Amino acid sequence: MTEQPGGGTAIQERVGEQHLGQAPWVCIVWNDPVNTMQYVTYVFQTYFGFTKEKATRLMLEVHTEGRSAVAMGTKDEMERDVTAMQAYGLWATLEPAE
Amino acid sequence: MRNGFVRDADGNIVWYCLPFEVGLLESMATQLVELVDAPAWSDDPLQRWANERDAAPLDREDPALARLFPDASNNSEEASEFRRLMEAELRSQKASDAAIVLAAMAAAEGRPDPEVAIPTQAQDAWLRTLNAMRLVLGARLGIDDEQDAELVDDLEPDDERTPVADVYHWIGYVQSLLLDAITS
Repeated sequence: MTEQPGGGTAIQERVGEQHLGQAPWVCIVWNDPVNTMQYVTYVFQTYFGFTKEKATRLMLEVHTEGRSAVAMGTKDEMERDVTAMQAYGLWATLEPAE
Repeated sequence: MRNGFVRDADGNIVWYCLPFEVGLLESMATQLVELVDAPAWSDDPLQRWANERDAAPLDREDPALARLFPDASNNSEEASEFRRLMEAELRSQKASDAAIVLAAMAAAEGRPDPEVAIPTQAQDAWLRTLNAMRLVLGARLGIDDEQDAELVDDLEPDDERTPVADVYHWIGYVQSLLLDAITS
Protein backbone atom coordinates (compact mmCIF):
# COMPACT_ATOMS: atom_id res chain seq x y z
CA MET A 1 0.00 0.00 0.00
CA THR A 2 1.60 3.18 -1.21
CA GLU A 3 -0.68 5.77 0.35
CA GLN A 4 -1.93 6.11 3.88
CA PRO A 5 -4.95 8.26 4.74
CA GLY A 6 -4.04 11.62 6.20
CA GLY A 7 -0.26 11.59 6.41
CA GLY A 8 2.02 14.58 6.75
CA THR A 9 1.00 17.98 7.98
CA ALA A 10 -2.70 17.25 8.38
CA ILE A 11 -2.15 15.49 11.71
CA GLN A 12 -1.57 18.70 13.66
CA GLU A 13 -4.80 20.21 12.33
CA ARG A 14 -6.67 17.01 13.08
CA VAL A 15 -5.68 17.05 16.73
CA GLY A 16 -6.93 20.63 16.92
CA GLU A 17 -10.29 19.71 15.46
CA GLN A 18 -10.77 16.79 17.79
CA HIS A 19 -9.85 19.02 20.70
CA LEU A 20 -12.68 21.35 19.75
CA GLY A 21 -15.02 18.38 19.71
CA GLN A 22 -16.29 18.93 16.17
CA ALA A 23 -18.97 16.62 14.84
CA PRO A 24 -17.75 13.78 12.62
CA TRP A 25 -17.88 13.79 8.83
CA VAL A 26 -18.25 10.91 6.38
CA CYS A 27 -16.74 10.08 2.99
CA ILE A 28 -19.47 8.98 0.56
CA VAL A 29 -18.80 6.97 -2.60
CA TRP A 30 -21.54 7.20 -5.25
CA ASN A 31 -22.55 4.68 -7.89
CA ASP A 32 -21.41 5.42 -11.43
CA PRO A 33 -21.83 3.47 -14.67
CA VAL A 34 -18.17 3.36 -15.74
CA ASN A 35 -16.10 2.12 -12.79
CA THR A 36 -16.13 -1.66 -12.57
CA MET A 37 -17.10 -3.64 -9.47
CA GLN A 38 -13.69 -5.33 -9.52
CA TYR A 39 -11.87 -1.99 -9.50
CA VAL A 40 -14.00 -0.35 -6.79
CA THR A 41 -13.51 -3.40 -4.54
CA TYR A 42 -9.75 -3.28 -5.13
CA VAL A 43 -9.62 0.46 -4.26
CA PHE A 44 -11.50 -0.09 -0.97
CA GLN A 45 -9.14 -2.93 -0.05
CA THR A 46 -5.98 -1.10 -1.05
CA TYR A 47 -6.63 2.36 0.34
CA PHE A 48 -8.66 1.62 3.46
CA GLY A 49 -7.09 -1.78 4.15
CA PHE A 50 -10.52 -3.45 4.29
CA THR A 51 -10.83 -7.22 3.97
CA LYS A 52 -12.07 -8.48 0.62
CA GLU A 53 -15.42 -9.30 2.28
CA LYS A 54 -15.91 -5.82 3.71
CA ALA A 55 -14.72 -4.13 0.50
CA THR A 56 -17.12 -6.25 -1.54
CA ARG A 57 -20.03 -5.50 0.82
CA LEU A 58 -19.42 -1.72 0.55
CA MET A 59 -18.99 -1.94 -3.24
CA LEU A 60 -22.33 -3.77 -3.50
CA GLU A 61 -23.95 -1.15 -1.27
CA VAL A 62 -22.70 1.56 -3.66
CA HIS A 63 -24.01 -0.45 -6.61
CA THR A 64 -27.47 -1.26 -5.24
CA GLU A 65 -28.19 1.71 -2.91
CA GLY A 66 -26.47 4.30 -5.09
CA ARG A 67 -24.09 5.41 -2.32
CA SER A 68 -22.19 4.18 0.69
CA ALA A 69 -20.45 5.92 3.59
CA VAL A 70 -17.05 4.24 3.47
CA ALA A 71 -15.19 6.25 6.13
CA MET A 72 -15.90 8.51 9.10
CA GLY A 73 -13.64 10.97 10.92
CA THR A 74 -12.75 14.64 11.21
CA LYS A 75 -13.41 16.94 8.28
CA ASP A 76 -9.67 17.05 7.51
CA GLU A 77 -9.48 13.27 7.45
CA MET A 78 -12.51 13.03 5.17
CA GLU A 79 -11.08 15.67 2.79
CA ARG A 80 -7.99 13.49 2.60
CA ASP A 81 -10.04 10.34 1.92
CA VAL A 82 -12.24 12.06 -0.68
CA THR A 83 -9.10 13.34 -2.44
CA ALA A 84 -7.69 9.80 -2.51
CA MET A 85 -10.96 8.33 -3.82
CA GLN A 86 -11.13 11.01 -6.55
CA ALA A 87 -7.49 10.31 -7.44
CA TYR A 88 -8.58 6.69 -8.04
CA GLY A 89 -11.47 8.03 -10.16
CA LEU A 90 -14.24 7.13 -7.75
CA TRP A 91 -17.07 9.64 -7.45
CA ALA A 92 -16.62 10.68 -3.80
CA THR A 93 -18.04 13.48 -1.66
CA LEU A 94 -17.91 14.46 2.00
CA GLU A 95 -20.73 15.53 4.32
CA PRO A 96 -21.42 15.83 8.04
CA ALA A 97 -22.29 12.46 9.60
CA GLU A 98 -25.98 12.11 10.40
CA MET B 1 4.60 -15.38 -28.52
CA ARG B 2 3.73 -14.54 -24.93
CA ASN B 3 0.75 -12.37 -24.33
CA GLY B 4 -0.89 -10.70 -21.36
CA PHE B 5 0.19 -9.81 -17.85
CA VAL B 6 2.67 -12.05 -16.03
CA ARG B 7 3.42 -11.54 -12.34
CA ASP B 8 6.64 -12.74 -10.72
CA ALA B 9 7.13 -13.93 -7.13
CA ASP B 10 7.95 -10.37 -5.95
CA GLY B 11 4.71 -8.97 -7.39
CA ASN B 12 6.34 -7.18 -10.31
CA ILE B 13 4.39 -7.51 -13.53
CA VAL B 14 5.44 -7.66 -17.16
CA TRP B 15 2.86 -6.89 -19.82
CA TYR B 16 3.56 -8.68 -23.08
CA CYS B 17 1.61 -6.65 -25.60
CA LEU B 18 1.43 -5.59 -29.23
CA PRO B 19 3.13 -2.57 -30.80
CA PHE B 20 -0.20 -0.91 -31.62
CA GLU B 21 -1.22 -1.22 -27.96
CA VAL B 22 1.90 0.67 -26.91
CA GLY B 23 1.08 3.46 -29.37
CA LEU B 24 -2.57 3.64 -28.34
CA LEU B 25 -1.83 3.81 -24.63
CA GLU B 26 0.91 6.37 -25.19
CA SER B 27 -1.47 8.56 -27.14
CA MET B 28 -4.21 8.22 -24.50
CA ALA B 29 -1.80 9.03 -21.66
CA THR B 30 -0.47 12.08 -23.51
CA GLN B 31 -4.03 13.36 -23.99
CA LEU B 32 -4.78 12.78 -20.31
CA VAL B 33 -1.75 14.82 -19.22
CA GLU B 34 -2.89 17.67 -21.50
CA LEU B 35 -6.45 17.46 -20.22
CA VAL B 36 -5.64 17.70 -16.50
CA ASP B 37 -3.08 20.47 -17.28
CA ALA B 38 -1.40 20.20 -13.89
CA PRO B 39 0.48 23.18 -12.47
CA ALA B 40 4.20 22.92 -13.23
CA TRP B 41 6.16 21.11 -10.51
CA SER B 42 8.95 22.91 -8.68
CA ASP B 43 11.26 21.77 -5.88
CA ASP B 44 10.86 25.25 -4.43
CA PRO B 45 7.65 25.28 -2.33
CA LEU B 46 7.06 29.01 -2.93
CA GLN B 47 7.41 28.60 -6.68
CA ARG B 48 5.13 25.58 -6.53
CA TRP B 49 2.53 27.60 -4.65
CA ALA B 50 2.80 30.37 -7.27
CA ASN B 51 2.39 27.82 -10.08
CA GLU B 52 -0.71 26.40 -8.40
CA ARG B 53 -2.13 29.89 -7.86
CA ASP B 54 -1.53 30.85 -11.51
CA ALA B 55 -2.76 27.58 -13.05
CA ALA B 56 -5.65 27.98 -15.47
CA PRO B 57 -8.92 26.87 -13.86
CA LEU B 58 -10.40 23.62 -15.14
CA ASP B 59 -13.20 23.92 -17.68
CA ARG B 60 -16.02 22.28 -15.75
CA GLU B 61 -18.32 22.54 -18.77
CA ASP B 62 -16.24 19.72 -20.25
CA PRO B 63 -18.02 16.54 -19.06
CA ALA B 64 -14.73 14.61 -18.93
CA LEU B 65 -13.15 17.14 -16.56
CA ALA B 66 -16.38 17.36 -14.57
CA ARG B 67 -16.18 13.58 -14.07
CA LEU B 68 -12.44 13.49 -13.26
CA PHE B 69 -12.85 16.30 -10.72
CA PRO B 70 -16.40 16.01 -9.35
CA ASP B 71 -17.82 18.44 -6.80
CA ALA B 72 -16.84 17.05 -3.40
CA SER B 73 -20.05 18.30 -1.79
CA ASN B 74 -23.59 19.23 -2.80
CA ASN B 75 -23.07 22.35 -0.71
CA SER B 76 -21.50 24.84 -3.16
CA GLU B 77 -19.42 26.59 -0.49
CA GLU B 78 -18.00 23.26 0.70
CA ALA B 79 -17.34 22.21 -2.91
CA SER B 80 -15.36 25.39 -3.70
CA GLU B 81 -13.46 25.14 -0.41
CA PHE B 82 -12.46 21.57 -1.33
CA ARG B 83 -11.36 22.72 -4.78
CA ARG B 84 -9.24 25.48 -3.25
CA LEU B 85 -7.53 23.01 -0.91
CA MET B 86 -7.24 19.90 -3.03
CA GLU B 87 -7.64 20.53 -6.77
CA ALA B 88 -3.99 21.35 -7.55
CA GLU B 89 -2.91 18.20 -5.71
CA LEU B 90 -5.45 16.07 -7.60
CA ARG B 91 -4.38 17.50 -10.96
CA SER B 92 -0.71 16.85 -10.12
CA GLN B 93 -1.50 13.32 -8.92
CA LYS B 94 -3.31 12.41 -12.13
CA ALA B 95 -0.52 13.92 -14.25
CA SER B 96 2.24 12.10 -12.35
CA ASP B 97 0.30 8.80 -12.56
CA ALA B 98 -0.02 9.24 -16.34
CA ALA B 99 3.68 10.15 -16.58
CA ILE B 100 4.56 6.76 -15.06
CA VAL B 101 2.56 5.01 -17.79
CA LEU B 102 4.09 7.26 -20.46
CA ALA B 103 7.64 6.44 -19.32
CA ALA B 104 6.90 2.70 -19.50
CA MET B 105 5.42 3.13 -22.98
CA ALA B 106 8.42 5.14 -24.17
CA ALA B 107 10.73 2.32 -22.98
CA ALA B 108 8.69 -0.26 -24.92
CA GLU B 109 8.16 1.77 -28.07
CA GLY B 110 9.56 0.58 -31.36
CA ARG B 111 10.01 -3.04 -30.29
CA PRO B 112 8.36 -5.79 -32.34
CA ASP B 113 7.47 -7.73 -29.16
CA PRO B 114 7.04 -5.08 -26.47
CA GLU B 115 7.59 -6.08 -22.85
CA VAL B 116 6.26 -3.40 -20.50
CA ALA B 117 7.61 -3.53 -16.93
CA ILE B 118 5.05 -2.62 -14.25
CA PRO B 119 6.87 -2.84 -10.88
CA THR B 120 4.78 -3.14 -7.72
CA GLN B 121 5.19 0.52 -6.74
CA ALA B 122 3.86 1.64 -10.15
CA GLN B 123 0.79 -0.60 -10.22
CA ASP B 124 -1.68 1.76 -8.54
CA ALA B 125 -0.58 4.61 -10.82
CA TRP B 126 -1.28 2.31 -13.77
CA LEU B 127 -4.73 1.36 -12.47
CA ARG B 128 -5.63 5.00 -11.72
CA THR B 129 -4.47 6.10 -15.18
CA LEU B 130 -6.32 3.35 -17.04
CA ASN B 131 -9.39 4.24 -14.98
CA ALA B 132 -9.06 7.95 -15.77
CA MET B 133 -8.88 7.08 -19.49
CA ARG B 134 -12.09 5.07 -19.16
CA LEU B 135 -13.82 7.94 -17.35
CA VAL B 136 -12.78 10.41 -20.05
CA LEU B 137 -13.91 8.13 -22.89
CA GLY B 138 -17.10 7.28 -20.98
CA ALA B 139 -17.85 11.01 -20.73
CA ARG B 140 -17.08 11.51 -24.45
CA LEU B 141 -19.48 8.63 -25.23
CA GLY B 142 -22.17 10.31 -23.10
CA ILE B 143 -22.38 7.51 -20.53
CA ASP B 144 -24.37 9.02 -17.65
CA ASP B 145 -26.19 5.96 -16.34
CA GLU B 146 -26.29 2.16 -16.57
CA GLN B 147 -28.64 2.29 -19.59
CA ASP B 148 -26.16 4.45 -21.52
CA ALA B 149 -23.41 2.00 -20.61
CA GLU B 150 -25.45 -0.91 -22.01
CA LEU B 151 -26.15 1.00 -25.22
CA VAL B 152 -22.41 1.64 -25.69
CA ASP B 153 -21.82 -2.11 -25.24
CA ASP B 154 -24.14 -2.83 -28.19
CA LEU B 155 -23.38 -0.17 -30.81
CA GLU B 156 -23.79 -1.02 -34.48
CA PRO B 157 -20.47 -1.31 -36.39
CA ASP B 158 -21.32 1.75 -38.52
CA ASP B 159 -22.21 3.92 -35.50
CA GLU B 160 -19.94 6.98 -35.39
CA ARG B 161 -19.23 6.26 -31.70
CA THR B 162 -17.97 2.72 -32.37
CA PRO B 163 -14.24 3.58 -32.75
CA VAL B 164 -14.24 5.41 -29.41
CA ALA B 165 -16.32 2.66 -27.79
CA ASP B 166 -13.77 0.09 -29.01
CA VAL B 167 -10.95 1.93 -27.22
CA TYR B 168 -13.16 2.33 -24.13
CA HIS B 169 -13.80 -1.43 -24.03
CA TRP B 170 -10.16 -2.27 -24.73
CA ILE B 171 -8.93 -0.12 -21.84
CA GLY B 172 -11.48 -1.77 -19.56
CA TYR B 173 -10.18 -5.16 -20.68
CA VAL B 174 -6.55 -4.17 -20.04
CA GLN B 175 -7.45 -2.79 -16.60
CA SER B 176 -9.29 -5.97 -15.69
CA LEU B 177 -6.35 -8.19 -16.79
CA LEU B 178 -3.93 -6.02 -14.78
CA LEU B 179 -6.20 -6.25 -11.72
CA ASP B 180 -6.37 -10.03 -12.15
CA ALA B 181 -2.58 -10.17 -12.25
CA ILE B 182 -2.15 -7.88 -9.22
CA THR B 183 -4.64 -9.79 -7.07
CA SER B 184 -3.68 -13.30 -8.25
